[in-house]
Amino acid sequence: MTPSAQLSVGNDLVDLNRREPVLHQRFIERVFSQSEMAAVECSMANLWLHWAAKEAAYKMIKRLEPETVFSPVKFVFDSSLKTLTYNDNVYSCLCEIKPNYVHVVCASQPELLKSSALHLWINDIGDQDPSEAVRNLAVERLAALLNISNKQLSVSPPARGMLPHIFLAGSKMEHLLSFSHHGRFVACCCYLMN
Amino acid sequence: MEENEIFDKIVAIVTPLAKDKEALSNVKRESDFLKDLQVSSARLVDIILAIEDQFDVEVDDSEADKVETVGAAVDLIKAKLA
Repeated sequence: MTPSAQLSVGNDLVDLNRREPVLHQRFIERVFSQSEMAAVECSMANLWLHWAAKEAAYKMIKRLEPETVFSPVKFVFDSSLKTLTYNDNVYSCLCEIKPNYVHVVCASQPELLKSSALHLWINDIGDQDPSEAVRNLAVERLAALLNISNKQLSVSPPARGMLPHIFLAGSKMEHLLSFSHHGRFVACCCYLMN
Repeated sequence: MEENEIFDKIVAIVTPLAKDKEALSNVKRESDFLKDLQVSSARLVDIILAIEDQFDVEVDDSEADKVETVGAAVDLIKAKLA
């Protein structure tokens, strides 16, 4: 059994409908590697899928290696294999491409993505505060899973790139959480530890 | 270049990308690009690229990774231009 300290998951979501100014002309060359270019130039959904995979992997790895720098071009996504390579390590990803958003979960071990202990929750929150909405989503769904009251759970707001922690009556729980929000959507990925 | 001139140029770069317009109207050195101004993480890359263009400097990823606030961006540019 892999020790819990070596397990990690990270997620990232991009709202495909959010209207924003056009990307800087050097964005693609700064962010994507040569091997990703063909897929990235295929469609905006593909471009953002690659971005989300890089962000998800960064969050996942940073939990295990806090000194990790987000150098997007070094996180290389293969959309055919649904794998992310960083520093010669290959990680598996779970990818969702919907009309309104793309969402990626990246895991330290591929079996985590197939486990019934992995839960993904995505909400359309409209104009609500996304940081509060994603914490509320995590507390509500996790409390239901654990069959306890919402009031017993709290979630620490994560620092940039760091995963949030969940607390039961003030005591830190070992379950793995990752949050993402963009535009109208919030996403929570939760891996329940034994 | 004076610090307030650098600050104003950064605010001009951030303005079209910040979702929280109220936070933008009260922007200060401590304003966090992601948390306060609600710039998305992808658009942080755009901010770094625009900084490179505006100030004719190069910012590598390890430097960009530390630019979480407007003040951090000002300090980085000041150091680059010194």
